[in-house]
Amino acid sequence: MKFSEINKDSWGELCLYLDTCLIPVTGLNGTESPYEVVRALERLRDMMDLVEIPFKGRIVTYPSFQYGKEEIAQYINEVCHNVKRAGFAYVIVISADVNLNAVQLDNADLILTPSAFSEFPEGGKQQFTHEIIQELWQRKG
Amino acid sequence: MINVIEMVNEWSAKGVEDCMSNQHDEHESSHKPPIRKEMSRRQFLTYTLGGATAFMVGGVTLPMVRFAVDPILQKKGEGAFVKVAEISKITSEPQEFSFELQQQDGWYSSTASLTAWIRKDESGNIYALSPICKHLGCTIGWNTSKDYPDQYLCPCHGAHYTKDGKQLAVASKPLDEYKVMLKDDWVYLGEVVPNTIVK
Repeated sequence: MKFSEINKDSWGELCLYLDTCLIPVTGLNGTESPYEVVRALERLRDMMDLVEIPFKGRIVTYPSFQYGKEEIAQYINEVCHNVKRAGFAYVIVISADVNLNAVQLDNADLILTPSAFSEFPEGGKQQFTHEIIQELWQRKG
Repeated sequence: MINVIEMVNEWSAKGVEDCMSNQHDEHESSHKPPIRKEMSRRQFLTYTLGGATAFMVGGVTLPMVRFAVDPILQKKGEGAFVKVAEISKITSEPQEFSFELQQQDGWYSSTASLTAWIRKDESGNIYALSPICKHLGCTIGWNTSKDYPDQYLCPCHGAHYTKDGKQLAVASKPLDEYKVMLKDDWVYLGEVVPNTIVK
């Protein structure tokens, strides 16, 4: 679920179940036209739907990194570290337009980028995402 | 001659005095103050201006209120049902069907992509269960684990359910179901309602 759906009173109970944080990266650089920004956000939304809808009760979506691509990898990695310090057991970084290298984000448990989906048809993306996230939970659980 | 006139005047004055005296007695006997029936100028202006103002305010406000509450006043017709699957394809084993539903949330209209697990029971009655886990809202799957054969299983925290949607662990309620309508060899699904199959 979205971070905005959780309030102070409910978090005490929900934090026992919501152990995975999803950090989206939009990948804008400021040169985009308004309609291109809309398309970029829609691409990211479509990709996030693959994760957020099936696993709504275990994954919390945090605010996105809107601007910056590979050059902000170190900062994203630092945020992943902080999120874990705050209590999340798993961190997933997701982007529709930025191919973040797994080596650069060693504090992230899973990185979902376009390259991960490139060989799958539309229906296969959902199945692949489902399997890879469950595998993550089983591997470290 | 003068005396006659004086007598007439005296008589007239006495008559008037008697008449007023009678009226006074009548007022006292009814104990009511005198009522002025005619409207004063101030009252007339108050009523006229007040009425005109109320008419103008009402003329502006009422259409706005009607416009704002219009979605509430719209009747829900059979359009709420969506054609999902052929009846001949429904088996006793739950199958997942995807469909799109036009949603109206106030003035916001959107298309939602939904799925339903549809099966028929031993009597041939067709049921459609919602795939949303009643624990925290993840999406359940049918027969996805060897540990829970012929059950719906939630991938998030292991809630599992029978074929009818009855909760067996973790979740506190059975799976919701869709309203089902059968028409022209097709299964139509409507809104999601609490489970009526589980007793």
